[in-house]
Amino acid sequence: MKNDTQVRIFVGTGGVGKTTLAAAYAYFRAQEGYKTLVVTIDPAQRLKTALGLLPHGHNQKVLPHPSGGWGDDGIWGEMWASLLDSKWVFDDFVRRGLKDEEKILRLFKNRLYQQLSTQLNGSQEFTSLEKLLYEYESGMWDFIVLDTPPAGHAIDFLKAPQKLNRLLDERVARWFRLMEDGGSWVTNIFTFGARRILQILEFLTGNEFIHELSDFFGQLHFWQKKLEKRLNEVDQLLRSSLCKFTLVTQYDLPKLREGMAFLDILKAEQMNCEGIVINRAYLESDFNLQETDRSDLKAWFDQLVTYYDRRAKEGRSLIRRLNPSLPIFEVPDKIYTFLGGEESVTKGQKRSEISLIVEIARYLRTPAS
Amino acid sequence: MRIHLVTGKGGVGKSVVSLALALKEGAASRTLLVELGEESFFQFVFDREITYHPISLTELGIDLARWSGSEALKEYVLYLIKVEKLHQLFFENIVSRSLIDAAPGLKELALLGKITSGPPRYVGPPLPYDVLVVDCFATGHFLAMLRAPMAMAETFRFGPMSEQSRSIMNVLKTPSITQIHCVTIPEELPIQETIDFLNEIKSLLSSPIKIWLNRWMQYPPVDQPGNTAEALLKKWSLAQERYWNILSGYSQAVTRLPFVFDHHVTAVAQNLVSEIAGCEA
Ligand SMILES: Nc1ncnc2c1ncn2[C@@H]1O[C@H](COP(=O)(O)OP(=O)(O)OP(=O)(O)O)[C@@H](O)[C@H]1O
Ligand SMILES: [Mg+2]
Repeated sequence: MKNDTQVRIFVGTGGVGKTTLAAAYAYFRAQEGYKTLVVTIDPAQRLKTALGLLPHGHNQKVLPHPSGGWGDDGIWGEMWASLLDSKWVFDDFVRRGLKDEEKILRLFKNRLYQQLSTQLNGSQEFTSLEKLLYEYESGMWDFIVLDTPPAGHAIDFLKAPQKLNRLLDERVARWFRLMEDGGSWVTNIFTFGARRILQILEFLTGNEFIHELSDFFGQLHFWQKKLEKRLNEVDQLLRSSLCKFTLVTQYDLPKLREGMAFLDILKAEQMNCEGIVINRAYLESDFNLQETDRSDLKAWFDQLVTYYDRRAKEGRSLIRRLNPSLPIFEVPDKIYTFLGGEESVTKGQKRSEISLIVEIARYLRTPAS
Repeated sequence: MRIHLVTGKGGVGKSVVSLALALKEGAASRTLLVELGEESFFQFVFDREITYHPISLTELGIDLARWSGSEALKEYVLYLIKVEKLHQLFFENIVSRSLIDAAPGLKELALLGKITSGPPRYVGPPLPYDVLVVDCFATGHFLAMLRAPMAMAETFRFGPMSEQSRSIMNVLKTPSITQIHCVTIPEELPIQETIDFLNEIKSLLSSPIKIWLNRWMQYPPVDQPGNTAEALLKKWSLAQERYWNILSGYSQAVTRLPFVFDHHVTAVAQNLVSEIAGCEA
């Protein structure tokens, strides 16, 4: 199948505005005439409203702002958005693999599975990659933009799937299946070493836990090969020239250094980076200092602007030093937007945020020089 | 032993406030600042590798460590089975390794076990500190971590894991030992997340949560906005004020921490120490 769908993955630490920027990117490509899908995770209520997102992850067409048009002079393609429902994707993956209704029900009842599908290390990362692959294979999109799960560190996204894969390693599953069949590890189906390990495990966690665990593995028998195949396919996609990462961060020195370290890892893994987006890079100046004659106000604004300038200067030089060829896109700090405008959170009134997305999209077009 | 657990939305200043809290405590007590997880933030601040075993920041008067779930679990297992050989066998085995890597709740449990390993539990190697300040995960992950011992204790009624879980929960629920701090900033999304967090944590613990409203802008007073610059400031300060009012409606224990016009982490934290100390006096 010929598939030239472009994939863009937005990574970065929590709280930097990844979701909004991913949406703005999808918007900007749609404005160029492409058909785009943004897969978001954990968006703010305002953004959900703006994108018209529904629960259960169905793709939803993003409708134009009521004030008319999409702004600017783009030839409008199509923009779709989808809210990742991690539990649903996970359950669906299992359903497709197990087929047998009775087995499916038994697995869904397993207490570890119930925790696993939402809380397991890496399950959210896995489901977002599974969704990405699913949409990629549909061949329906020019661009798929993936927002990544909130994490302390950008690198968590790359590490997570391997962890899941290791848990479901065939050797692990076989042990527990043997236990299911043989009942107990005092029997000699296990080597001496294996028996000692299981004893330690039981000593640590208790008999009840081990029982639930073996039940779980006994049923996930089918899973391992499928998962491995899926992860291999994802891996190929992530390394292909169709896929590019974008690092979203702020001019914050420790975070920047961490982000640059992440880019080195991408490079080592032979994955591509499209650029680095600096959110809240400088103060949007819709005020005019000349207009006030109060020297204390001038001094205060001055302090604020100097603070932004200093950070940006150090930040830019750090990036230039470590990665001179990397395009930098700077998005200004719209303080008033972050403050939430005139509305009150408690009243639950939500302003449409499309206008913000439209505005931000502009900054993603041309790198800062 | 006093344990401070610090959480909040991503990027609001959890690490800076944790450092400030540790600096304040470090003046009087043996204090360890701990970051949780596989990656370190403070390595980029202090230009030193931050390990499981604490290092001393002599110039600041505190110690610093980074605890990952797998290391905490390893230490705990060694403490229990004592025999180094068995321990090695266990951790080199593919089955136990992958379980530890990915099984839900295990690492979280080990981390909380390590955090609460001092008095009155005394489980594990002794921790020679009077105060622990833990720079924890963001609110969602933090709640998941707290739920781990609860879920274990509820799901498995017998066995060592449920026993340990119960004793960990007891320490976390004792206000004279454990204090939870939530850092936030006067912006719409962080405030919303703080309110959600306060509502959620009520079902886990009843002890009071300290809220730090960080990056509070000290605007010059504008009474009668005469021009755009003044009108703009007035708008900003009113919006900020609104969040202070909303939070104060939810909790008695809200303290504002000023926006420090400096972009170096240690300098910001040092500036916040006196504010934090002032609030406790
Ligand atoms: N009171 C303050 N005044 C000025 N700047 C501050 C203040 N508090 C924090 N900052 C700055 O805000 C940024 C984020 O802070 P920090 O890294 O502590 O957040 P965090 O909540 O730990 O983030 P993460 O969720 O990524 O761990 C840093 O650049 C820090 O210097
Ligand atoms: Mg931090």
